[in-house]
Amino acid sequence: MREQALAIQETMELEALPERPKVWASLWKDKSALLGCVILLSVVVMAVFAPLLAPMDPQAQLLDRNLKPPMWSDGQQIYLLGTDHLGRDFLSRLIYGARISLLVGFFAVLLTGCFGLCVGLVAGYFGGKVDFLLMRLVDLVLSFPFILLALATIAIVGPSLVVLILVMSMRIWVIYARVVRGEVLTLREQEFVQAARSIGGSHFRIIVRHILPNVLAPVIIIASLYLGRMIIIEAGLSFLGLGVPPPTPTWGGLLSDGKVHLYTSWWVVTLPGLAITVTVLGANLVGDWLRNVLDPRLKSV
Amino acid sequence: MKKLWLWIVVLSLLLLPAGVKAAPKGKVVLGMAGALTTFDPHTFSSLPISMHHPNVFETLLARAPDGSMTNQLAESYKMVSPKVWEFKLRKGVKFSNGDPVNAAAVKFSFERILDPKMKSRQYRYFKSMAKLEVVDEHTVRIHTKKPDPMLPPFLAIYGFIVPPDYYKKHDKKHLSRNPVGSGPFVMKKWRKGQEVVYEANPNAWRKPRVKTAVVKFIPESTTRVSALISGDVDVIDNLPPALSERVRASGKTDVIAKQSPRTNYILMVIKEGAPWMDVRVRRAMNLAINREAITKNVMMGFAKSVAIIQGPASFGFNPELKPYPYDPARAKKLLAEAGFAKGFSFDVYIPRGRFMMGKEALEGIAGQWAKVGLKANVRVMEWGAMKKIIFSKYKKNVKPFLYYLARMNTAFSAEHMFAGAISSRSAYGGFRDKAVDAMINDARSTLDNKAREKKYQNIAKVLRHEKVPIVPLYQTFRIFGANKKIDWKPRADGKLIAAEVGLK
Repeated sequence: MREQALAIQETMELEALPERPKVWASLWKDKSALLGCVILLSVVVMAVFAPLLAPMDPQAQLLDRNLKPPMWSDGQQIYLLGTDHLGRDFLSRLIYGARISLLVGFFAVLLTGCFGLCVGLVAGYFGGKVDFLLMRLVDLVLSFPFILLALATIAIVGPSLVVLILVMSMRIWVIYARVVRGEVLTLREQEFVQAARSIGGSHFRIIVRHILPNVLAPVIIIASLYLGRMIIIEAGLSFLGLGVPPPTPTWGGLLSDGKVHLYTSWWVVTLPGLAITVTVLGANLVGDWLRNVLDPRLKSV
Repeated sequence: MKKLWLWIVVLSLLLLPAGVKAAPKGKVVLGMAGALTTFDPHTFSSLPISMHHPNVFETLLARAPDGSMTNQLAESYKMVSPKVWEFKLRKGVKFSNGDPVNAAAVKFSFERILDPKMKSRQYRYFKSMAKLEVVDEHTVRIHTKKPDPMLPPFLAIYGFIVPPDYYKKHDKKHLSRNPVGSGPFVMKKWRKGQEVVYEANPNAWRKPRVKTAVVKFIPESTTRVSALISGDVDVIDNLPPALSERVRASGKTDVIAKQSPRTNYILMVIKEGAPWMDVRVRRAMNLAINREAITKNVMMGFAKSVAIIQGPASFGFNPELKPYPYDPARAKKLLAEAGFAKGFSFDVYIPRGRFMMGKEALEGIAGQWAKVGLKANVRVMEWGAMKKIIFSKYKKNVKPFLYYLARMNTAFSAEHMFAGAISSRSAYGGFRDKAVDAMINDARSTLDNKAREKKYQNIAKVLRHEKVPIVPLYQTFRIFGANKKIDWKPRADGKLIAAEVGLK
């Protein structure tokens, strides 16, 4: 009896999701989403295959050839995008820089998504005191100026990749927590949840099997939209010198290194700036499209 | 008859500049990077303070723009016995409130610095003083605990003389905002963190070059440069090398640069377990650096390599010593001999934004080290956090590391530099050698100037050739931007003092 009810429940939920061919068709129809996908995919390819794509070692410096403009050639090799202030090939550094941006963006989104999801589920499902406490924690985090928090934390702990991801995650998880909690509040009163509860389903089972699949859509949408924001935050922190320490190239770090040379060598700031802009644009376009496909109600997110 | 008229015109034109000097006119606006924290001349010691206070206060001795010692409030001075210095004061000098500058004021001023309750940061420069004695109205004697030949250079930086009555009457808080001195300017208005307005002091014996000088505090360098180019300010300090081209290109402004006595170097925590315990490794680390490439390309020519720790302007400079040459092949060989053919990896710390192009230079150096197999992890730190790391350097569980620092040789003396980086007791140094300590102590207690200079030169030679205690790099230039209407020469000590800035 109980198994049967659950099985019916699951088929009902599965039917609610759009069919696969429809997803691809909508991607093909939505040209801006397609563009976003292409951009994001090419950045991912760039990051993954950086050692194969980069024409030179991004760390190899030659001080005598510093700050050379794009298309400059030393006789043997052409520096497509010029060199930086230590004479390192700028194209190679840009390509390698994609790694950090994506790595940080992806893991920060994953981490915040998981954590925010858990908090939202627990708060929404159990309600009462648990909800009150968790939501006040959310308020607390929201009321703290993020950059200040990041500055202070990194100044104390010292900059590194892991610290960077953790610091960025400290703030963003609350967004997920709020949205998920709101969804769960309505879901837990629905018949299929009531039914599962009436036949003795444990809290854990109800949350994981019945509520979680229904809140995944908004979580995925927020995640895709926040990927772009994470990349911007990473670049901002790197720009302030709080990112991944040198000589690892990061887009924000390249911007920061280049800012003093802005008036004499335009490429050292323009190119990483463009890289950030284009990547974030791609991520946002994909995010918009996902939102339209998965849950048109969430247009305001 | 006509000729006579011509002569009168010519003569009056010639006399005109003298007339201008007697009563200063005009106004200059300076844009400076470092903000001022107090106008109490006896509490702190920092470069911004030592650039502002000389406008309002005067010291017994001073540095001329070329770096040589001159007298200021003192007319003459001599060592009457090894432990007694006697100063004859200039007569007829008055503070801006009308009080006379006399021996009692000198005595009071130093006693104020030495007073433990003041907790003065200048105490360390004058701690050798035992007592001050007023001989007559214009003669004062300083008795020291032991012979201190190093006293005069410090009397040329700190030890500003203030009127006793005024400074006794008011509390510290009032005095920090309402200075009274004998300097060329009086402080008219001060909006903390924003600007200071100076006006010519009518009682001054040394006239400023303009009637009004305004100093605006602009910490952000691109903003400072924009203010200079737009004409909002006439002179700026701390011009980043990368922006110098922009200042030159504007047509209305010039770049003024001068080598400053600020030596940049990399220190090593030399202790058990460090590969650089072996002097061959230390030598290799020096030989692997191409200093010329760094000063030329990263510092854009605004730095000059040093052999060990002092620049040519300092007492005890040894002109025979040359900077370590660039010889990566020999560096590799030395490393192999020491058993590090494969190289090793280590951390090297640098404070954020404290030294001109420091991070960029260190990254360049790390790249050069990498070519001989030395893997340096550059760690950019906040200064507070980095100080903690430096002070923990000799603890057992702390892995030996390297760190980039610079030291401003304001006293223009070898002693000052050794105390800060070479002596075992130095809080910021990482080198401990009893023999070198003994040599430094011996030199310090030598009273004869010539003999002392020889000893300092010899120490520098021993350090450069035998001990290799640090990785000396270069002295950076102080770089200023100035409007073409400004008449001002940079000082050897790198200070920008408003009272010395004039109009063409």
